[in-house]
Amino acid sequence: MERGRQGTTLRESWMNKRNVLDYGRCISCRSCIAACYYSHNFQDQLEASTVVTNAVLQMNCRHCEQPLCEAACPQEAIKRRDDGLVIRSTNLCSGCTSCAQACPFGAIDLERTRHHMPKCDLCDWRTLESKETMCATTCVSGARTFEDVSDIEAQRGSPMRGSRTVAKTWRGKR
Amino acid sequence: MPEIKKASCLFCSFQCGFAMEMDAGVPVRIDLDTEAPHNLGSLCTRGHYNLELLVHPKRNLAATVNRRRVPWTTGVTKVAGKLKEIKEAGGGDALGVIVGTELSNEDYAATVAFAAALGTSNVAVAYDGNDYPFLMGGGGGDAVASDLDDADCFVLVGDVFWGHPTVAKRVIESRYRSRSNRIYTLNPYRSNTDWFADRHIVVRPGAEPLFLAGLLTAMNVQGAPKVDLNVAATAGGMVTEELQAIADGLKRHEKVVVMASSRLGDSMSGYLTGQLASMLAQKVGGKYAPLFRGGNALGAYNTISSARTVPELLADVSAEKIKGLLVFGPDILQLYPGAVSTDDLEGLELLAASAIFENDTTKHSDVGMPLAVWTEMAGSYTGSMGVETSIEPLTDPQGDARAAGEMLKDIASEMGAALAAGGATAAHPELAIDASVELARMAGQSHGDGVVLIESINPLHRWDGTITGRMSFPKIVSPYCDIWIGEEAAQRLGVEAGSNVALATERGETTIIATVTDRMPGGLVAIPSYVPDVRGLLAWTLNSATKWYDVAALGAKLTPGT
Repeated sequence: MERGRQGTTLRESWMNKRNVLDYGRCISCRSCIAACYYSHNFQDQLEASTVVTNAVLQMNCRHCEQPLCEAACPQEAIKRRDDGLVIRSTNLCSGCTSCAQACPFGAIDLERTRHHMPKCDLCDWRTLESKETMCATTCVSGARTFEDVSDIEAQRGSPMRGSRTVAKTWRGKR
Repeated sequence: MPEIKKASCLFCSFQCGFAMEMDAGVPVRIDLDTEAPHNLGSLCTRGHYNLELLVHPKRNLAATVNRRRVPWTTGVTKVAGKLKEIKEAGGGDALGVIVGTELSNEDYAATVAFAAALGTSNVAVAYDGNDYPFLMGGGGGDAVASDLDDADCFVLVGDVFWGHPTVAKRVIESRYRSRSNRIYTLNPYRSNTDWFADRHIVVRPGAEPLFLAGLLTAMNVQGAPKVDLNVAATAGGMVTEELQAIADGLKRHEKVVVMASSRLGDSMSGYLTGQLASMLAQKVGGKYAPLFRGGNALGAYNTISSARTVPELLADVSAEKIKGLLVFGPDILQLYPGAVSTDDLEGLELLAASAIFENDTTKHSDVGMPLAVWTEMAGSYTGSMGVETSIEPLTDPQGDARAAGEMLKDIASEMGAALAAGGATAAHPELAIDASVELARMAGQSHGDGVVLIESINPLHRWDGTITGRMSFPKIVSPYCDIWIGEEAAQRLGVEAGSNVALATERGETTIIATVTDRMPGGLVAIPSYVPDVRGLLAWTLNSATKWYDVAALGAKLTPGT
């Protein structure tokens, strides 16, 4: 059984949670990105773009089932854990940007590299304590939520698998 | 086990609650307080600055005399000695005190007591934007945060979601709770707030009161100023029948919340917007919720009388009637550029400026005093929408930094005076404003083809830039400022998206990157007023009726740059 920072056990409920983005409700305030930045030692882990004027498209890490970033990393700094979380070891990362170039979703930032590549860790110190991710908790408009898979499937009307991040555009402002 | 302490944010008047993760007494990470009753854990970008503000390496940490670091007691002795000297030579009215809107209610009470001990009536609050006229017009409002949950209709004046993002979730949730619920917005351009509106009223800039008065006239409200419905509808970019339909629609709702966000611009428009928005809420049986830019603007308003305002005090500084000035919090040179010159400040016998970071005002001060951040000192604060905040300090203040109230007590003690216990409620003199006359004047205005000041509020920034200008996050995600130009205006001026444009006013010129957007209707242009370079180009003229500044980009011209 994996243990969190405070010795809490990894909860089954968290395993079934997904980051959900409802772009129809985004007011492009960027508080999710600020929350990510300040909670990860002043490093951006959440990449974003503004391809439309009314919303910020947050390109979260999908925590893929077969991560290309893991395959591309020459330092073996990126690993997919048994619980599905794709994490990066800060100590092993050399900042070579291979993962950023390999990521098909643009979720790893190429430009804002410091000494190593920022990479979404799904706020594991919070989720292990059964709290929601920072970006979901801070969201001022309710566009970002941390929802149970069964709830998402009930809304979609179809089963889902894989990705830890779901883009939701079927609800909210039309 | 890290310790979690709760605190509140003072970057705007909604005073969101948050928690701070402390490790051995050192703040290490913001932890969101989902039990905070009004923001429910949400925090906007500015809220997250609270961590960096506490641990910032460039904070003011020591007192200075003539820009040299000195022990705290030396600074206090210097201020006290000079104040005594000036008072003996010119009386109490040769002295003035200006306080910012992020101090605690206790600090404001100490300021009133200090002014009484000095024998001066020159005490004023440095409100940001149109906070002061808003307060004078509509007061503090009667809505509380929970009213947003069961409201069935919202009238949002200004870009509420961008200025105060944490109200967004409750407003959107309420709107989509029932198909018949409505959101009406009044805004000159299409903002992110208007994206959620059932009816976005594209009002002429500054003519918001005219449209509100039109709604009241259409409702046939007793005691409200009457305006020509055709003129009011034209100001709102619609025909009279539409205005009448909106007025009828508002009357059908049972729980209406009228929210107004304070911004820069014409102070008379701010005053009347506050007054008429409050009246509209009252007449439809709803609640009025003004949202201010200053974190404790309402606390300052409740404690310090507006018998004298900052524009009047700064005019007295320029006229050399005031010889000694104490400033706690604001950077008056950046907050009201051009209202007072650096020469005027240099000409003072004593300028004692206290701020969290070094700024333009502290650079010209004789004595500099480090100000503590709100999360470093115990105090109570009065927010808008019935939010009452009490902060327990997260850490000890850095260096010699301390609360304004403590500094005033030290200075008074050095002068041999004792500060009386505060608690009195401030009295505000009535402003001699005839709403009908002013609305008739607004009816005759048009924005023409020139550059009209529309403030593009950016949640990453905050007024004079002295705080957010020091934060690392805005520099990363918004490394340059931009000016928003409508497609029609861009075509007419020959400005291409992403190119440089030169913005020139009667006060100078600067170059900004142009963003061409369909958000700006007609020929309107939005200026990023949070950028000091741009802010300095605006004209800050005293309106004798409102006793506040009218802010405009007088004679502004835009030309494609290189």
